[in-house]
Amino acid sequence: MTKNIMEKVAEKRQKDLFADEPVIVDMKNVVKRFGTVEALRGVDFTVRKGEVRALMGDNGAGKSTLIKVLTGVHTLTSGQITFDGEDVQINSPADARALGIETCYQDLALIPLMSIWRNFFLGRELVTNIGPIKWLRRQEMARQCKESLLDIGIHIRSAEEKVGKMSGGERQSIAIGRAIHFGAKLLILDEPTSALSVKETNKVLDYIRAAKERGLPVIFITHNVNHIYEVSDSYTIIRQGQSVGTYQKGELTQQDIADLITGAREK
Amino acid sequence: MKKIKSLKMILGLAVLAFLAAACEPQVVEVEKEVQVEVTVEVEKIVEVEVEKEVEKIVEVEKEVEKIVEVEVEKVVEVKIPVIVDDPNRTLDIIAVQHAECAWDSFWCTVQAGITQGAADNNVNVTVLAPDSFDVDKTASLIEQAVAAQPDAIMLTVTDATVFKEPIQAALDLGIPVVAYNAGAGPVIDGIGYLTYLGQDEYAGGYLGGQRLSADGGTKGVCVNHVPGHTGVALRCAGFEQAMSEAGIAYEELAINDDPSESATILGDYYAANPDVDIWITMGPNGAVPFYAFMGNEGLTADDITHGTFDNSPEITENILNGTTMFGIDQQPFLQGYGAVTALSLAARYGILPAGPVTATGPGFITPDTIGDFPGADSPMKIIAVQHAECAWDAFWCVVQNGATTAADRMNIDLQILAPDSFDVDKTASLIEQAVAAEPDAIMLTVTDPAVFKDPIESALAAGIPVVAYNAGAGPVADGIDYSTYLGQDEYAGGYQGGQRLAALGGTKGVCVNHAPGHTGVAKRCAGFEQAMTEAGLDYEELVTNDDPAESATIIGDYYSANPDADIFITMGPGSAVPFYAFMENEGLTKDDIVHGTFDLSPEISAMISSGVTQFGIDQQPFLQGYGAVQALNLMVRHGVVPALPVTPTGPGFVTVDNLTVVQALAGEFR
Amino acid sequence: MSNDTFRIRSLRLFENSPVAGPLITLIAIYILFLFITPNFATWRTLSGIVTAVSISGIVTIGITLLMISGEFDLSLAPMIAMAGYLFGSVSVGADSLITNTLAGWGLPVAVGQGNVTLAIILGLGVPMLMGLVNGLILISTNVPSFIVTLGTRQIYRGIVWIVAGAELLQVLDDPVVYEVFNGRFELLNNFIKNNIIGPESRDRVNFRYATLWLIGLVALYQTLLVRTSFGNHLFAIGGNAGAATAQGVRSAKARVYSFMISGLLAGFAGMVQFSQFKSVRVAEQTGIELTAIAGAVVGGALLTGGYGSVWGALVGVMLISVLRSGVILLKIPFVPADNFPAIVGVTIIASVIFNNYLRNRSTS
Repeated sequence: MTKNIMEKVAEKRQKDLFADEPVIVDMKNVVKRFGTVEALRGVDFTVRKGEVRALMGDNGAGKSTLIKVLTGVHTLTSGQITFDGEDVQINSPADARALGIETCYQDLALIPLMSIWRNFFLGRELVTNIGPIKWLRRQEMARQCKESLLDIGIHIRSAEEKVGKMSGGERQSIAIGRAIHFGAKLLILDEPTSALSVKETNKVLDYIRAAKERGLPVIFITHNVNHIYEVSDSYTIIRQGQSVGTYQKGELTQQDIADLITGAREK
Repeated sequence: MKKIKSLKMILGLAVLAFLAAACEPQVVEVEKEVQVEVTVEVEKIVEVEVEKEVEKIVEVEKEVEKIVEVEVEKVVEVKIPVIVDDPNRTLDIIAVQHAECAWDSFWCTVQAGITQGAADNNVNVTVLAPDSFDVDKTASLIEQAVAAQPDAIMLTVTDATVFKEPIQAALDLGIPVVAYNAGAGPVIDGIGYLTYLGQDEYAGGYLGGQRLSADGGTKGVCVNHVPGHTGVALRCAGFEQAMSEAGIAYEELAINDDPSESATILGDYYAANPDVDIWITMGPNGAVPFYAFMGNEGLTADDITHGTFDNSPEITENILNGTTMFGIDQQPFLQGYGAVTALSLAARYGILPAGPVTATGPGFITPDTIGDFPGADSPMKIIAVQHAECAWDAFWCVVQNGATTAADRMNIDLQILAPDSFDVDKTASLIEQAVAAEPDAIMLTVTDPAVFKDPIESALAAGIPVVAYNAGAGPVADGIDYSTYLGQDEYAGGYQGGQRLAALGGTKGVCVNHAPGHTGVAKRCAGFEQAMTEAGLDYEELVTNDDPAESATIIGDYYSANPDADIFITMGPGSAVPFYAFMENEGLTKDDIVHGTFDLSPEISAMISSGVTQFGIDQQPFLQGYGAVQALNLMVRHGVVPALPVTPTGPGFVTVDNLTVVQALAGEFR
Repeated sequence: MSNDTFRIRSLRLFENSPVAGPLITLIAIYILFLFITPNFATWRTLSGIVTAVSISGIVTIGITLLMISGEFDLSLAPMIAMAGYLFGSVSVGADSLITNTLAGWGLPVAVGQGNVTLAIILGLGVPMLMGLVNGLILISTNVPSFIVTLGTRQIYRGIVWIVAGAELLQVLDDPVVYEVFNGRFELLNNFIKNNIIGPESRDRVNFRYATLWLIGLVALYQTLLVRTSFGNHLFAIGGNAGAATAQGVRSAKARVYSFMISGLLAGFAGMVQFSQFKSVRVAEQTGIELTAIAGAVVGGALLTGGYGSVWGALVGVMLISVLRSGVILLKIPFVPADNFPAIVGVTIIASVIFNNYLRNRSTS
């Protein structure tokens, strides 16, 4: 059965629009073990500049682990990561950030009880050094925050507003806006649209497009096949710790994708 | 809409608070009335003080007493004696008694106690007694004794009215005075001597009742051959209390001086009340008809449980054959011995007896205590096991100094054991070590009755007498059958402190408690409350905390709301510190309020000497060590047992009169 | 129109601040007491309320910073006691174990010859070190700070017991430094007495310098909290530690600093307390941690971290103090003087419910 899909792909093979763009991330033969459990069993994964890549897979397939290896939350067991043309070791979230990898996790992105601008500049505050004291340039940060967000079409009432008061879509937008503002080289979104209304989801997808327009490659994890068609250029399917393959938009039908995710046609 | 909601909440709170304050106007009115009374009274006292300023303090005190006499029960301030120049020199004490050895073997025992006490305390005692019972002659002997200006005087107060003047003369010279054998204590006698050493009749009945009812029973009878006698009535009252605590019925049976008639009364009563199984008699005159009654009815020790006051050859015989459980001895030896010791400690170190009455009895005569005792010359070894020691804490140096001083004087080999750090288990194993060493006696601090129970009981099983000091709650409360616990009587501290403060006049007494929930502190407040109630004053407990700034405000607010509060007692530096801050804040002086406190500190001492604070209550650690050694000495060598489960070493009152003495002796004896 | 905008804006600002709830409650209850409580509307009472929080207020600042970062410190009482003993002994050269030991080490202090500078250095430095130890244990073991400090509380108490020689320290001297830290604020007291209430009034004014120090410290640490990146990081760590770390916040360092600050403040509180009362016990201030936590929570801080303010904490402890004074002064017949803490307790819960209500409005 799988063969059928592959044949179909061959028939409908689309041109990789980004084949000539420079490679941003290149993960080779990545293995991650947790004790005896092998979460990633030698995955190859490549993303090029300006591309929006969806990462799909069932729960526990290993897509989150792959992302966490890339963002320094987990350290890989073996394998190799090349980022922006250089071999790198990513041992902590700080390492990833230093490389320019911005991540927006569902629950680890923002602090609800803090204001928008504080979230926006968290860990990268604009300060005036007065001796050992790092004095916050609050007005400046609030202004830049508001402008930056407006730049990618995000309209906020006030940068002083608490993030907790915002809708799920708005929260994602701030994380995306933050990544763009700080000149990230890669933006990773972990299920950015889960638990969002249709309207909210569309907004988030717009922000992803805005990021793409600025040449920022985006990896986003999703369950929702429709989103792939809406914004992604290509998608990688992960199953049981291995990459099933990377496909260009239009190469597979929704049913094909669903089958590949679950592995239904192998049986 | 939302704003309205929050408004509603505030309104709700307001309504609640208004409801709470609904009774407020009435309270305010009452307050006003009280305030007027207070001002009048205070004015009077101030007037008196101003008038008599130049005269002797004693007289002012009398005047103040007169004013409050209507409300307050007569309280006699114990006159604080002057201490001797050198505590190590031999003291001269004169004993004046209304009878002597030549008349009566009882008095030989008393005098033997005096002689032994003199030997053990490095004291010379001269005993004076009239040729025959003669109150006036005895009074003139007291005058003679005062004229001789000894270091201390001990005497029997057979007539408080006649003796008052000569005793007062001694007190005015700063000579310490104690009463023994006859007397009722400074409060009832109305004379400011230190203490009265004699039998605690109520405790005798109570503790005897507890022993008799230990194995249960149905009905207890107090056989009273002298109905109307106050002391005997107290014995029966104590016995009744013990019965009621054990859930046993009680009745008092009056008999008379005719033994055969009394035996018949007992027989008739028993026929009508066959359920009676516990009997207590008031002495040989009750015991004689009782034994006759038993013979008549053919009763044996299996049928009834019997105990009696006093001793006689017949009683001893019945104790030995098991018919009678015990005889209660007032321990005349201890009356003489204890009086000498009390005077020695007072004259040398300014250490004062803890209460107006120092119990020498009940001493229970049982098969164990009948027999010959080795006497003063026998070698003796005591092991002391403490949870702390001198090296850690100055307090413990004073305790140990008391113990070693007593051991030296009494020629006792004393060994002190303590763990390296506070450690209950290690202390318990030290007790085991002590038992294994087979000393003549053991003294210890009961920091944990549950853990110490086994080792202490193994000592008792080995026939080694045990007393507790400093830490413990007494054999009853600790559930361990050691002889006695020597420590502060917290209730008595609060009570006696309250009496002293109430005597200075006031409207409302406040117990400032910074450690609510602490049992010892609760007892202090309870004693203080009792004193206030007896004086007809209002009482309230005020809870503060460990934050002095907050506590000072709490006391201030309380005083604002209760301006009638004018007597304050604090539980130690923890509440005295904020109390003084409160006084500063309110601009109060010693003329506005009356204050006393537990414990001492440099600030409290300063306040005592400036007259703001009437007294600091000291638990007298020296006496804890000294008293424990002495109690064991008396038990082992002389067969004299501690009278009460708790032998109070405090309250020791430190007032403006003895402050300098206490300060001079601080660290060594205080 | 513009008026309306202003109202909305100020309302929103108010909603965003953790101070809002406690401040509303404080003002409402204060006004209520003014009307219903005899003797409440006096300078005596006001200065009493303010002075009552002079020590717990300082400690609450530190606890608030910790709570914002999601931590607790239950070992502050022994730090206060430690500061009291060190500062008290060394400032006047009291004849104590501390003075003798330090002199033995060759430090410039001797019995009868105090050294104020050394006293302040020790009084602040040693508690700060104790806080540092708390922080280091916390970050190296990841045991919750509640447990860590519950343990160090016992250890520190033992150390204080040894350092103190198990004795009460009380001095009768009165060096200038005591006046500076917590003398009577007579300039203000006399001004109020002479110019506002009139010298013949029976009302009394008892402000002390500790209040000035408290206000100064509150201002300082509130500024630190909202105007510096350190404060920003505390909020982030307490609000969502994972997110903060993901954003590159070095949470270990910030947490250790906040424990050191809280130790430093406890030390300062110990010195302020000693300066007024000139006495310190081993068991000094037992339970102040819980008072401080209550103050911080009433002042709008969240037990779960990430929210709160130093101003709010000040308002919180003030609110508790106002309540206590009010309840005592009310003389409610069924609340005897040994039971008023219960009433205060009830109101603490009520005010926290009110805070939650306001915060939920502002964040959801």
